Amino acid sequence: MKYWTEHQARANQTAEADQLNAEMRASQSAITTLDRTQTPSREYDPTNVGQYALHQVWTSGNSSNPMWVPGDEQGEQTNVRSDTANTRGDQWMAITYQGYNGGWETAYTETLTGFRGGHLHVEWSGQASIFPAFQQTQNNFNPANPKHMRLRIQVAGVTMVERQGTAKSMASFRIFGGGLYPQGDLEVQFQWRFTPAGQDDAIVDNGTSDYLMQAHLWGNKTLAIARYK
Amino acid sequence: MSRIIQDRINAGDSIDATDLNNRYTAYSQPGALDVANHGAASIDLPQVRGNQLITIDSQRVVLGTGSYDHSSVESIPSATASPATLAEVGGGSTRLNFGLTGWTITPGDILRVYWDTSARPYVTGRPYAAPNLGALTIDNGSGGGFDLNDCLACWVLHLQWDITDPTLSNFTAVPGQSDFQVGTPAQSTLSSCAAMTVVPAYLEYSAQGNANEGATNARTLLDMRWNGVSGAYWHTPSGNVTVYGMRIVAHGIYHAAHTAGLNRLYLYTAVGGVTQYLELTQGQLSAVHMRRG
Repeated sequence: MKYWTEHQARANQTAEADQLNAEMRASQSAITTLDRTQTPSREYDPTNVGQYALHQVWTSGNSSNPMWVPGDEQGEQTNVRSDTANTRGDQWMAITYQGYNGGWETAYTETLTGFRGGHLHVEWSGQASIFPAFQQTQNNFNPANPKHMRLRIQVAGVTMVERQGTAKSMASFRIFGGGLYPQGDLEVQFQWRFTPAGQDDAIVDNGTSDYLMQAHLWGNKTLAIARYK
Repeated sequence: MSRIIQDRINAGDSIDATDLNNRYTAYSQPGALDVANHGAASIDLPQVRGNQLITIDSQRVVLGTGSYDHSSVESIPSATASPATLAEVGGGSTRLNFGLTGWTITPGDILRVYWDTSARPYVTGRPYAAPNLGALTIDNGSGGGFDLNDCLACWVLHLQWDITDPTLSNFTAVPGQSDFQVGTPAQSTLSSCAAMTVVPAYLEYSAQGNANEGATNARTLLDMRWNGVSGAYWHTPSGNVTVYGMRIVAHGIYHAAHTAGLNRLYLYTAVGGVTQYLELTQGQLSAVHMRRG
């Protein structure tokens, strides 16, 4: 803490206006421009630091379930999928090659309302299922067509992180990334891209004519943490 | 607010007790300091250190056998009856214990939990051929079909907590997660799978892709190897919740199902038995209790 640096008034001293002004300016400076040497250690705690002063957290879902999109299908990818009539009872209503021909799809969008600019960390966790049996294509006469559930996170339309994705029939994933981003209500998109059908993929059940499930995303939840200092 | 806004003293001004007292009172007002009183970079680590402004608690524990050696593993048999028995990973010695007072999570906090382990599923002889969950009829190119399994079968490792007392004898699934103990067979909708990891139970390929080329119809059951698996969960309660401990339980085998318009996981006891099992070694279970902001 600063001390008064101006002279001390003494008895019978001649009073001049600037004598007092200088003292008061010194005092004012001490009060109005605290620096780190003047602020006591451990001065700031949750009771006197404003909300979101240092960091801010956004999550998908609600208090009873952290997964995205409320209702009976929360956590599932639902933007590209078959319908119940064409779904086998022992598979899921999910991505089929009748409804999906390739390309990136947005499974979920989270708006980071109130983002003040700084470092942003984003996580996406869940399960991915694929039907990987037909990867060799047409008796190996064509190039192999490895099946992957590719994943990426985009912030304000720019890719933050991208992953080759899962390659087994049932798998869990966690994809996360970070970076410095400018202030604003940033939009974060969680996107997937599945390997398109190969030369000779099985797309229907020969016995029932049901569409064959090719991939699904489920148990999805997201977390974003902004660090402002 | 503590900004001083008194005018300067000018030559010729009267200087008396009232005038001086008013000015010094302005300098000693009791209002709290605010942003106007802080210079650039006036707050740094010493001012916020140790005050739980972001992280309140954290804890980690080794999960599982305590060894990465695959010659010493924890083996979990697949269920032959419904519901499956939930086997605690590590047998009760590798759980998170938050002590007598526990961690109290408020609506302004978030609980983040992460886990990982090494897993190897073991299935032989295509026991899933009957009763045919996932058995697809694939065009063999000559008017018939051959059986190829979709392999949408998995083991489940899910997170439980104890919010009753520190004896840690009342574990239940965390919010958003099912314990797979209800239904016939035991099941869960996919909307109740917020805190779990899946391990593929078996995997078979068409050695030569042949949806309509009439090739050999060769079918290969892959010999599954060790894989690292991981999971994550985060939660903010609507009211205060005191958590005394957390653990991971493993069980299976489950298969995909679609009934009453919803996607589900069904316990698949047809592939149950001691010859179909899941092996686990070592990993980590960790939790972070932090403020949302």
